[in-house]
Amino acid sequence: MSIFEEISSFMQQGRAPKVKELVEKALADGEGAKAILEDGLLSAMSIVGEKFKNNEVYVPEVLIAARAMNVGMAVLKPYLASADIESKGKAVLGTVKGDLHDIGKNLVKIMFEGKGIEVIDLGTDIDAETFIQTAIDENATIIACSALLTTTMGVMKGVVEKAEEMGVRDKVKIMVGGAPVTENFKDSIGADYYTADAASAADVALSILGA
Amino acid sequence: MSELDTALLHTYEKAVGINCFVVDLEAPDEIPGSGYAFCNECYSKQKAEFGRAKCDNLMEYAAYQSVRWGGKYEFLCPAGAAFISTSGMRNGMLRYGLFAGPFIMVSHSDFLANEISGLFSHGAEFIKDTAKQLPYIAPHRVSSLADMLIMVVAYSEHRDSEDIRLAAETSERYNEIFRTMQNIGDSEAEYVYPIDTEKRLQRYITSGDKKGAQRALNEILGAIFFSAGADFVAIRTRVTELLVLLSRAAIEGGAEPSRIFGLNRDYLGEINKFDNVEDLSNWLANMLSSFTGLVFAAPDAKHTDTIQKVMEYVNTNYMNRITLNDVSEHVSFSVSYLSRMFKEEKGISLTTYINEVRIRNAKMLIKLSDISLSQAAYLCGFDDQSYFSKVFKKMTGTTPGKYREQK
Repeated sequence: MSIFEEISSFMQQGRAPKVKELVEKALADGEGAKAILEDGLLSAMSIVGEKFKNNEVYVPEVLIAARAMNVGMAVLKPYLASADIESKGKAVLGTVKGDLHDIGKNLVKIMFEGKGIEVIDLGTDIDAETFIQTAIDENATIIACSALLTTTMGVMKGVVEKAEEMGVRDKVKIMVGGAPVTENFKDSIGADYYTADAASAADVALSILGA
Repeated sequence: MSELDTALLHTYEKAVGINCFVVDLEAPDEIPGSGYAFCNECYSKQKAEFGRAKCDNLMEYAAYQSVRWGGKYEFLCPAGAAFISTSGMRNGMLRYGLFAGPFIMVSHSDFLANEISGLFSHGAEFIKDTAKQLPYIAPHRVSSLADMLIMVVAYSEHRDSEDIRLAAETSERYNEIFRTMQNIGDSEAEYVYPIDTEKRLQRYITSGDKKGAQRALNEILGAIFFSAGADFVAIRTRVTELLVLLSRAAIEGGAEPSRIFGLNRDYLGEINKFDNVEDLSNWLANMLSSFTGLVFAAPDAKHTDTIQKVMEYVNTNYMNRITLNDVSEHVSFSVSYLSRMFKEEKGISLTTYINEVRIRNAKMLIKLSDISLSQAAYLCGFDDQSYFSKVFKKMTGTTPGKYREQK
């Protein structure tokens, strides 16, 4: 079994100390941080996601796998950043008001930072005004909103409207994502980009920043 | 504060080894917190910007989320401790959240070594004294413990297994709708409205197949929500169209028109109050259930099961030769008794009903496909085309050939 497969296997079981140990070992062996992230941690998360969809595992298993991923990420983070020292631009990121689910949002953060984008992570339960005000204060080019619930995805429309109201609609690009969000939804609320997963979100963000 | 059976709660606590506590959602200002040593130590040592209020909000949020996720919601608090939440209703209103926790799903050493949210300035070592007392529960057991917590509430509230099943179904429905949306989104093909599924849905309703109808409805809703995005006016319009379709199919299946029209009047008034797809799809599912229910709601319910069995049999076998003997054997009644019972309950003879089902399906074939009239007759269980034409004319007032020309 390759070290990536080992990392993936322990992460799926939620065994954070093993994940941490193996990520450190992989780094010491000279594996690239990006490869460890993509072939180890993210691949494990997508396996867990798939199993969850098929009712093979339940929410508790997903929670501890996500936790183990965060632990592994904490080890990787300085290495990921050092690959791209120069910041390529700023993005404001958060889960919208009324929504406390952050596994997807945290993945986006990881992928953004992996691409050298500076992320201002507002966390969860964020109202439209906070998104816009932070983007203005921080001079960020991208606002990325995540929602897991259909009851909260409507808040994304509020973010677009708020950006217009506060006069910065032409200065920021608004990206939306999350389980119930679709391309058509993006169009109908007048946001700029929809992406289906964290990796493509990072690619789009990078192209927005022209890097 | 609630009718929760405290003795039962203690039994649960003892059996599973996790503490339970209740949060009154009608007086959320008085959230007692878990009142446990761990939480108290955490409140006193976490960084000021977190604070107790966030924990209280989280508990309230979790109680509401449990309704969305089939009655239970499992989550990690900012300190990384796990909780299970479920909730109790009265008069359709959420009244309280019932929680089991805190506990941990990873080893104690892992829990203390890997504090990830930055809640404490110096890691979770800060709260190690009380953290050591947290029970460890293997993650694969947690879902089942959550199911048991639902049963505790259900037992206290005298909910029956039907209510629990309905809650699970609601959650499954959302998930099915989202899967459809995702599948459409993932596929490369141009989006088209699933008109075939719509026809399938009508057939399920007409034959009273509740499960099939709900599945087809979920697929259609997924497609509607996908294509309409956030345009709620468009969603309401599509759903209103569906409603008309559902009610016509129910009438065709034998539901009493006056009752269907009555339901429609009430329902159409309600449709404008929805502003999210979850409430709307719940509402539509209830409606669908009423409609399919009415297909089989005989005025005298005593033989409903038998009549339903007969109708199912006819609807799945109409393409074959069906004798009254076959049908009566299927439900274990004599031919004469069954015939009389059917006529009494449905107002038409069984033979007429069989012909109705055949002609209904023949109409669909003639309208929707290009197969010959003799083939249509054959596929709908008629051996003899002239007899088919005769029955067709009697039931629809027109001949199969003329009917096709009208299309």
